[in-house]
Amino acid sequence: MAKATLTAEVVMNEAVAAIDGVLAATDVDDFTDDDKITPREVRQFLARLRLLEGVPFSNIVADSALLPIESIRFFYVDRGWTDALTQGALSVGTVNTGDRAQLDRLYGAIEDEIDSEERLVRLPGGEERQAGRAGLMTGFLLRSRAVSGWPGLHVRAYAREPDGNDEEILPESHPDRLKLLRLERLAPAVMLALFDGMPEVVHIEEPKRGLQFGVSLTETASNTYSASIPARNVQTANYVDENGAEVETMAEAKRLPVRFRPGSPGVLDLANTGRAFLDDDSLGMGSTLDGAEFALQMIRFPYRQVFGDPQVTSDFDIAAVFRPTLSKEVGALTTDFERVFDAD
Amino acid sequence: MVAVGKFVLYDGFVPPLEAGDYDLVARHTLDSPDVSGLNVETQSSRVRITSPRFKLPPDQILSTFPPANSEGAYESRLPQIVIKRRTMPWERRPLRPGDPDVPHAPEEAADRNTPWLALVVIAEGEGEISVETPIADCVTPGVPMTGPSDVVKGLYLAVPETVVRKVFPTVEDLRLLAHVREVSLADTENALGDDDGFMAVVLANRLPQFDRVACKPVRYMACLLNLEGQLDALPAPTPPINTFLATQFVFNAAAVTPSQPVDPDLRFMGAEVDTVFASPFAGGEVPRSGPGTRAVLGGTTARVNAGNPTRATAATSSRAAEWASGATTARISDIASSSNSEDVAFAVRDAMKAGFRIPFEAYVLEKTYRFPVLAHWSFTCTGAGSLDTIMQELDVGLLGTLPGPDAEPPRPECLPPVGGDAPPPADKPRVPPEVTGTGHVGLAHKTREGEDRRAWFRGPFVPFATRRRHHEGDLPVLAHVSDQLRLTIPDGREDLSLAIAFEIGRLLALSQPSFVAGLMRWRREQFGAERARLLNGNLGKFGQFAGMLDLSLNQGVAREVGRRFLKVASADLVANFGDARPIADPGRPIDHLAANPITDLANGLEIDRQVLTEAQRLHDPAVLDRVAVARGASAETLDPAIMQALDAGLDESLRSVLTQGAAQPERDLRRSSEQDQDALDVLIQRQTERRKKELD
Repeated sequence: MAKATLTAEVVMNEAVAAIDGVLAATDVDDFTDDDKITPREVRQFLARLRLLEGVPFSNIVADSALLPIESIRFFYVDRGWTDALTQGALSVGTVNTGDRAQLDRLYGAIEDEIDSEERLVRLPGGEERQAGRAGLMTGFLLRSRAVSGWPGLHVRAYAREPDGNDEEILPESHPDRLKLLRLERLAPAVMLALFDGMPEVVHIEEPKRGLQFGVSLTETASNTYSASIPARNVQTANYVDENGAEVETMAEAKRLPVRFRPGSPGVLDLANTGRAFLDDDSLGMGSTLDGAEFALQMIRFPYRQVFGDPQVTSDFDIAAVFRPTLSKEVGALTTDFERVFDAD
Repeated sequence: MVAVGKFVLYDGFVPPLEAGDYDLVARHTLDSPDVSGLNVETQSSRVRITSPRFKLPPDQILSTFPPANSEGAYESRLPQIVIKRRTMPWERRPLRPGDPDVPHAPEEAADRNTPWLALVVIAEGEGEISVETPIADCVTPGVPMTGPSDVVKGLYLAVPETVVRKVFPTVEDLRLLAHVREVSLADTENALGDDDGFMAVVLANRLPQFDRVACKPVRYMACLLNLEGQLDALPAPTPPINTFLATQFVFNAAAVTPSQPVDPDLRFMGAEVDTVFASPFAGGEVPRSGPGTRAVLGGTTARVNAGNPTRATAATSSRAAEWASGATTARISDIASSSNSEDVAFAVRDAMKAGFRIPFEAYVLEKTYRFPVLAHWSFTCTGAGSLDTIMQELDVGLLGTLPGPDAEPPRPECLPPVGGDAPPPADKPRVPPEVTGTGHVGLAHKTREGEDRRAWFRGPFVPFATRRRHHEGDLPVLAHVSDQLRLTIPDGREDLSLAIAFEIGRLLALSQPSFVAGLMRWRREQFGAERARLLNGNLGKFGQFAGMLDLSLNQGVAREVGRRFLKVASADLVANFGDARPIADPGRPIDHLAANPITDLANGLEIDRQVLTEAQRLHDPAVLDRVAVARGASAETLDPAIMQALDAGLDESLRSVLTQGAAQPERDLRRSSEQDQDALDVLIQRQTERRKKELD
């Protein structure tokens, strides 16, 4: 006759030994079916915190002089800072020494999970999910009228300039393109973008709301403007240069002057502008002018500003920068500060 | 089909028939050499081809540029409207039979390719947008508007001849301003919600300009106009120029109308309005419009209307007006959010038209024209230049780059230099911040001892690539309090960056109760999960639980262990708990009765043995009912009632003995909790029934 052998003592001993932390899954990744240790809501909160959601702007940019009006500032994201941020958030859940001991054991795994979660915060439709360890994070802050006047600016960052010219658009999952981790207007005129890697070029593009038509204005004298458009061959839709040869980019194209109506600022004289187009053989417009050909000449692709390599200056010797000699100047600065603060 | 990202441009799609009424007449002729008079009745029917004429249905507008009620530096872009139906601009003839000839472009006017629609952009004060007006009044008086109309009331744009001459497209231009675009429907960016991929586009011929004279943003209204019958009003071609002076003046209705606030209600409800407002000009001193009337050059004050020195524009300094358009846009947004939902469309449209409501028609001497407006929207040109100039003038740098010592916030170039009685520029509020090449900023810091010190702080954005320092052992892997991350650096000051980050993270986490709850839940589960895992391991070691237990986190551990234990234990009760105890212990055997109990019983009861055997075989003690039992002689002396009770008692005793004797030993008493009906039950049931009958 058999006998049950499970005693209360055995159970108790094992429960006490349970504090010796080993990882237990609490969640499963929807796509990869990997086990996740960190519960989903905690993971998502920490990932958004990593992207500085909710962090007061004065803690991001400590002084307004660092981001003057009409400026763009590129930066690297200090992972140490964001790690400290997540550690602070995690510290809320620890109450006693046992908790902290356990969190110590778990932290490495939590950090890895947040690293991979970072890329899932912003998932635009039609793009593939990207995975992998978190690497270098960079970005820029733009404070400009361009942000307030053109809501919905497109921002693209490329690890390698696409095809060597500025007129290419690659999908976000392309290896040459960097994933945009966060793109947000923090204030009406301040935009923050975070990239998943180190960009070689950054494109900021005018929002596309259908095609637009227009000219390039040049101020020739005080308040006097002339306008021109890049020449295109209407048969092939390619740009043509001074010699009538087709060229790839707008920058190389010949400029065609645009005529205006006297006495009316900004009003185009279309018929005469069009006739001038007809006279130019390299445009292939034939003998009569029609609306489609004219529209093709006047199409303005959304303006795209290209920012090149932001002159990486790495390997600062921290000790050299924080030299005590600075404190002498700082002393003078302090008095200045005091004067200003006293004046308030 | 066009590929995504590509498009095809067409000059136009001219429908074979214009909009209007048509008679379809069918005639049939029959001929026969033999029979004459084979006449067939003529069949005629009326067909109407409809097309918008005074109002463009909203679903036909796919997009407008600039977006309605937007602000931006749109100086180098032509406003446009995209219309869903590709034939729309050519569905009517601008020059109808009987309309006046167009002397400067007769061929173009008669050409079917010339659209009847034009997109005209006017600035504030250059024209007047009407309220809903009967369509007969929506065109310049004298222009006939016969034929079917789509609406009873419409809007019109009233403009003086000067504005038509300066701003409206010429007849020759019209063709160039309309085209058809074909895009892929899969290209949401370009298809804009179209159904067939073809859409008509009408461009304006005017680049919106910032007001460089007064240096303030300009509100523009783009109107899609019906030109039917009024081609002759369009301007004649002029010799072109290669440059334009952006400060040139077009027209200002405010300069020719009195300053009293004009209530459109008054104007449209009472005919006496003209006499009320016309009086200032009774002396024939009507100011002429022209460059002189807008003498706001210099941006300060001007006296335009001698009779009315309090004109609003005259008193407004350019600096104060700098943000005027922003206020207008904000007001429109306010109206949009505060109006009740039924009126909101009207209220917003009305607010957008402020500035285009100046009724100048009664005051200008020149001829004024009215054009039906099919669609209109307003936008504000807020600055010189465009996105490219703004972007190219950006101050580019890595974070930590300070602006140069003389850096000034950029101002529009046209603003007059600060001087005169304008307040001098405020002192720079403070000295430039102390910034190191590493991006650290020196900030005032009050220590816990109350000492005023300076400390270094650096935000998350730094000008060079950093490493995760705790990965390299410089810092504790995990900090539990912010003080663990306070660093003292070689210059003796503290670097509080990470400590501050820690504290910010803690405060942000605490500010979200759901996150705190999530963490606490996780904390509980972590211990629960560990316990479960270890119990799994240990329980698995015990023989009968081997491989049976798999505790997971989501189940309560205690409950789960109990449930599993019961399941395992009940699978084989004999093995786990031993044999079941019998229901009754057998009594002590009586040897002399064990040999033949039935015979002994029959002898003892003085009944036939056969009866008992039969009862045992049938398991039915009812057999005994038929057995006669001998009674003692004294039985007759007893009271019949007592006798009956004794009989019944005897019966019951006998039956209970028999029932016990006939118990089925093979019944599984453990298995069944529900009792089968046995012989005793039958007996009891019968007796109860009998009793009931007797009592009745």
